[in-house]
Amino acid sequence: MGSPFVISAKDVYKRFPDGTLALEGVALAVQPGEFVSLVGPSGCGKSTLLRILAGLEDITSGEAKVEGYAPGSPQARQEMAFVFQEPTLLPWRSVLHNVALPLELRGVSSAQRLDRAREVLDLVGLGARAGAFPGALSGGMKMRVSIARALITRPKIMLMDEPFGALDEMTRQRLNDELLSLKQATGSTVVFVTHNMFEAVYLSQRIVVMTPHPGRIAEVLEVPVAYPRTSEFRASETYGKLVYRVLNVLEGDAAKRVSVHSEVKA
Amino acid sequence: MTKSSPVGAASAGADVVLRRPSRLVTWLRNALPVTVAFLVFVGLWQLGITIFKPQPFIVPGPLNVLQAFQEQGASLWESTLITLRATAVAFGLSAVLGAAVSFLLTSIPILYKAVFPLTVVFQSVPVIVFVPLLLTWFGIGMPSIIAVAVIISIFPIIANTAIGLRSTDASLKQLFQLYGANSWQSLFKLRLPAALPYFFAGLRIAAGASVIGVVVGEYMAGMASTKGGLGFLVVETASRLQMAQLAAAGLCAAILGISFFLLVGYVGNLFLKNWHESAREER
Ligand SMILES: Nc1ncnc2c1ncn2[C@@H]1O[C@H](COP(=O)(O)OP(=O)(O)OP(=O)(O)O)[C@@H](O)[C@H]1O
Ligand SMILES: [Mg+2]
Repeated sequence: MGSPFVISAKDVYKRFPDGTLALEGVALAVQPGEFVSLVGPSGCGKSTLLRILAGLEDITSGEAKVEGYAPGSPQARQEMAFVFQEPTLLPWRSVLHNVALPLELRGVSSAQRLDRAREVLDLVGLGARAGAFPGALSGGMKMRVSIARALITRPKIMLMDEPFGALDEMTRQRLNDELLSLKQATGSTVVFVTHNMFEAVYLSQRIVVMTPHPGRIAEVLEVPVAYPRTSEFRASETYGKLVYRVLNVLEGDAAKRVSVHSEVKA
Repeated sequence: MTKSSPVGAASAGADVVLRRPSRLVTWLRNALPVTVAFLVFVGLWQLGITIFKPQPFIVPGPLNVLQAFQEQGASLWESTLITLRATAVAFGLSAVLGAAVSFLLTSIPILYKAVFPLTVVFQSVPVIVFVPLLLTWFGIGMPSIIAVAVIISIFPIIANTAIGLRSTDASLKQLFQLYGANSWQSLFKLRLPAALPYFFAGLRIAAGASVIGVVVGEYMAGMASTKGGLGFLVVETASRLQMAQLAAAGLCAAILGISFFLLVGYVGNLFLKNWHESAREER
């Protein structure tokens, strides 16, 4: 303990059994209440890093800590919620009982967990659909149910793996705003994976730009704009410059690859 | 989110689109083509009989079969009840044993690898091979008949349920892991419910198969029974060349099989009503 960071990773390497080097020397330190995005093209190891932090994947070498504990340990998980790219709801349960699941698995009494589930459903604007089954909801609604389920344990840390990747732009922007206001209200720390640099800039205080083959951190950018952010921010110069910067880093990396590739061919 | 949001408006629109025609109309629309096809078939059959006038013991006509129903109604009904009772017992046994076997197989990976292929082999052996064996174990009569039916109907249950138990969604498993679920919670709140649609799919196939199994069992293993089921009736009428009665018995077996299949499907849909694609009404 004693570290000011909620999440810290040092010199993390991850090699899969098939030989793929998914992460090479990755370091990350996240402060309490911070909103950090991991951006980068497909295959750069964003999900792998997030899954390592959740304890769903182990590390080949290096070190990661969540609240000072090893990822995946009960203490680390107690304070954490993970939002998958897909809503991952139980289709045989109503929305209300899906949201209550984490508390149910922790042995909280039925009355208590259902009350709390109604509370978080109201937070994500789905109070009226508590009795519906997932099959009857739209993609965006399902995602909000998934977020409500993550919120129900009042997690200090939210790990989100491209939660809005499958949604249309309008819905995504609205959920972005909802997410920011929830984060403001709860003060949670968020690590948010996306391959969308606009989303990353809009949401985060810090952007970790990653490049693939092997997965590395290419650059870390600060977003020096306070919350609450509105659509005005999207029209601002800072926003444009940051998006451009992320793009530059990624394009520069891609161009390097192409030139190396053509030299090899020649 | 306010009521006037685009999403709210869209879902209100969807309600209008989804308002379906009344149940009767939907039912008629689904049942009409098959009814017409059936009537045409019967009509052509009767036409052929009227034109070619074959002997009833070579090709009975629909009217002969109708007559058989009228004359033999009581004994057909009795046989149907006997077959129904045996079917219910065999189906129940298959469901319970099948579920237990597939649960056991999928819970122990090495057992699954070792035994599951054997069940496939077992299933491919023609059931008549087992009959002499069953007869020496259980003798002629009900137990052997039920055993034949169980052999025929248990495999679809084992195979389907095993697939269901093995194909639990990986992300859902991880979700349970992340919230520290113990193995009982994972079993009762995830693995078993996730396998339920597969189990019901197996039951549905087994429903039809168990009727066939009982009739075949009666045909092969029930010969000395004084009161026999439909399979027994088949043997009897065939030996006397009463083809119309034979057809009537076959029709009873078919109706029994279809009713049983529909019943099991209906009960399955009650269970899965809200969540599984296969249980949704067609729109
Ligand atoms: N279980 C696995 N076994 C082998 N290789 C894997 C496994 N999981 C991921 N990889 C590899 O590791 C690399 C990083 O994968 P990862 O899923 O972390 O990428 P990502 O940045 O999340 O990409 P995306 O944006 O497409 O989700 C990829 O090259 C991928 O093929
Ligand atoms: Mg990913």
